[in-house]
Amino acid sequence: MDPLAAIKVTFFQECEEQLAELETGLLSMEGGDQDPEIVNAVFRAVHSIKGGAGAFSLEDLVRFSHVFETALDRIRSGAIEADQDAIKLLLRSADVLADHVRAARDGGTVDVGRSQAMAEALAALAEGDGSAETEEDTGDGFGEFEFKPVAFDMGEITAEPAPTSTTFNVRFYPQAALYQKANESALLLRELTRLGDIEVELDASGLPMLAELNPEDAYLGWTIAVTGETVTEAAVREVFEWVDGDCYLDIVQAGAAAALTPASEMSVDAMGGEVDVLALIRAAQEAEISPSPAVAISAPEPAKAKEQALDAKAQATAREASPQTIRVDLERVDRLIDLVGELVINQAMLAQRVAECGLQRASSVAVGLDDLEHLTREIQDSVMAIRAQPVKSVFQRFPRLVREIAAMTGKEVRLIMDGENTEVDKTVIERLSDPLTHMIRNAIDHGLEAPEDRVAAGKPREGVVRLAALHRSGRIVIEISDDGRGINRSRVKQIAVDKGLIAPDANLSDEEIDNLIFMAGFSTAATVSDISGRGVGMDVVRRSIQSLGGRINISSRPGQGSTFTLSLPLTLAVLDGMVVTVAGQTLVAPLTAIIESLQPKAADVRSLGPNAQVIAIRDSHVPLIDIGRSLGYRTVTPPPTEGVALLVEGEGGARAALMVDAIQGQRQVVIKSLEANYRPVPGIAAATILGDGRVALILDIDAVMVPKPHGAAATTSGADAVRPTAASDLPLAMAG
Amino acid sequence: MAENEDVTTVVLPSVLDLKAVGPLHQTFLSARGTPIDVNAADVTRLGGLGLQLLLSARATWANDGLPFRVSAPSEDFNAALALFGAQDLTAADAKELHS
Repeated sequence: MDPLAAIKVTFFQECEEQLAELETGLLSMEGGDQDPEIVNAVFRAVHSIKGGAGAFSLEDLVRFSHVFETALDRIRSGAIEADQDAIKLLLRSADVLADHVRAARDGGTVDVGRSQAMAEALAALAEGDGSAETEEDTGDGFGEFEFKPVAFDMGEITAEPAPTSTTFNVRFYPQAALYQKANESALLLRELTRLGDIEVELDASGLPMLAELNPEDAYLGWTIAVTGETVTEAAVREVFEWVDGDCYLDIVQAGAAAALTPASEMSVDAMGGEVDVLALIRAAQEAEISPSPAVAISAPEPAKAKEQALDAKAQATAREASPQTIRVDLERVDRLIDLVGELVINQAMLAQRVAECGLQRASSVAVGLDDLEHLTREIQDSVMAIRAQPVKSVFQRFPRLVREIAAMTGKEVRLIMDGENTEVDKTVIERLSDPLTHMIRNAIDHGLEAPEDRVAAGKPREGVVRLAALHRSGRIVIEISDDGRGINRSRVKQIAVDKGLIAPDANLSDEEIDNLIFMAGFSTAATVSDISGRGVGMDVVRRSIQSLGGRINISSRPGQGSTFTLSLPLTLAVLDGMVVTVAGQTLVAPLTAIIESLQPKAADVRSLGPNAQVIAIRDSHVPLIDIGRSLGYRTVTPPPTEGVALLVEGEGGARAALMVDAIQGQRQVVIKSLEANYRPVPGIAAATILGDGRVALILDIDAVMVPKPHGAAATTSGADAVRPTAASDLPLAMAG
Repeated sequence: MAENEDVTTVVLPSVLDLKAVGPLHQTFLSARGTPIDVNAADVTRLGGLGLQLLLSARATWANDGLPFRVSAPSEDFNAALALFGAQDLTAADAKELHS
């Protein structure tokens, strides 16, 4: 990729971040937050997009963001008030701006009419105070910025410069490579003198005594204050262009608290001449919040080693900048995860070999192996944490979706989001987008009533859709709820009967009726709407959630609304499991589902009909399911007293005791997809490779808890009718 | 110091860059234990590596409690020190660098 293309990619990545920032800010304003910093943040987001777009000559994007920015600036300066109507307009404008960004990135087009209308509305908003004072608009939006100066003190550093002087503090720490490539610090410092007056402070705190000195290594660093009327960050940066990767470089405008992150440096670079203004704005705003001292380099001390000096530099950077980040190709992370997965398997194999050698637990080899196991686990957790991302990246798409669906359906909707910072594996996040989109559409289209109906029912005109994410028992739970009419159970049941999905005389509980909407082809919409699709939605939603190893439940109260609850694994790569033996096979039961294990006593086991058994566990009876028979490993169930029962709890809270022959132990296993490597198998979620190199199947607890029909007679039960029995309906948890 | 017979005089090369610092480092190390006079009269170019070698040498001599003097600095040498913000290297009563 050529350098410009690479910068462009970064620009668009940053645009996405700025758009998210913009939307978050506008939503806060909509919620009544009066903090001026929010308006500033919103303004900065649009301003940054405009600046970068200008550098790439993305004219449509520049033009729209310019009009948008002008309106925001008028709000920022207090010239116009941001009432609810104005904020709604700004939110819709943010949607259009996002369209422009994506069109510029992907080469598509935007809805010109909509964009034009929005631009006109924004222009009208900007002139909303009725004053004749309008900015001089050249029409193309390039080059000019309406910047209102805000007073801030640069005096300490600039030593009373001329009013238009600017000071940049440059921290420059050359590395050995800089000198090895025949570059020279002195020349760089001399170049800086061409930009303006410089004040140089030498940092020799990392310099060792002669005996420890490697004369070709680099130990010195400098802080240089460059002051001049024409000095810009871009110009300063240009001086160091040739030594970019061979030195530590930090350029901060005097008075600005925050150092630019490497990523934003790139886009600022790309903005060329505009950087001054942008930096000034930032400086002014930061100065308003906290007057920042100039960067302090620690006083020289004789015994300081170079590492300590570097550490001090790192700490200084950490103090003044937000957490540093780097962008890494996902492929590299995935490769790392795959390798760590192999490491875990390898470590398990090694442990098995050692165990087979009959070494004592206290032997140094076994102890060393334990340490290795801990280390492996830590590495695995750390690597998985790299992939963990806040669900915010998915959630942030929904405010726009809600606005658009509300507009299409004529309903008034407020979206409340909770727990956006809950983290989950990136793969899970990516695959959550479609099902959540569908469910939110459904909640508005089918769940919420029209405003008049709501008023008639004694509810506020505005319906509420709530989207919440939280961690619970090692899984992520996502709830989508609405305060609409709830599920009309008699209608749902009637439709299911009409479509032949259930027997007319089926006796279903409320929960079972609610779950009918997940059946393939079920649709309650009298007319197929543009919004909710063709009634295959909830079936598809359930399948996609199940393909993530997740479960979906619904609860509904007539007249009060419905809640869909998704429960998903945090990662699709590893699992803590109980390794068990069943009919000579080794299986893994997910530990999160197991409540306890016990040895059944004959007196506690009761037969229920010819094929079913229950077991009494502390005053309650739960189904006793023989895994060997359930999975078809054997046809005759051995006496329960000869095996071990695992008391498990399914996603819906139902419990069952799973009979296995023996427990081998508890182990962390790396999940390997059966679907990708073989094919879906009923009752099995995935597979793994054990320490002895054999493949073991991972049980799908919820699937094996469902009793299989025994003969045709059993299928008349309503409960069975709504449960998946076909192989394609059974869930599989997958990983790469 | 100049009158002291034990004083080692080191004449700096005209260019103090990557190529020069290795041999000069050895020269300084072999002069350890005696007062030193560093003659900078011929220096036309002082680079960052040259500067750090001189600073380290001065700190080492100060640590050893022995005199360290830079004599007859050339204009270029002084200009380079000013540019580096290290003017005090040539100060008559040079303080310890790492005080």
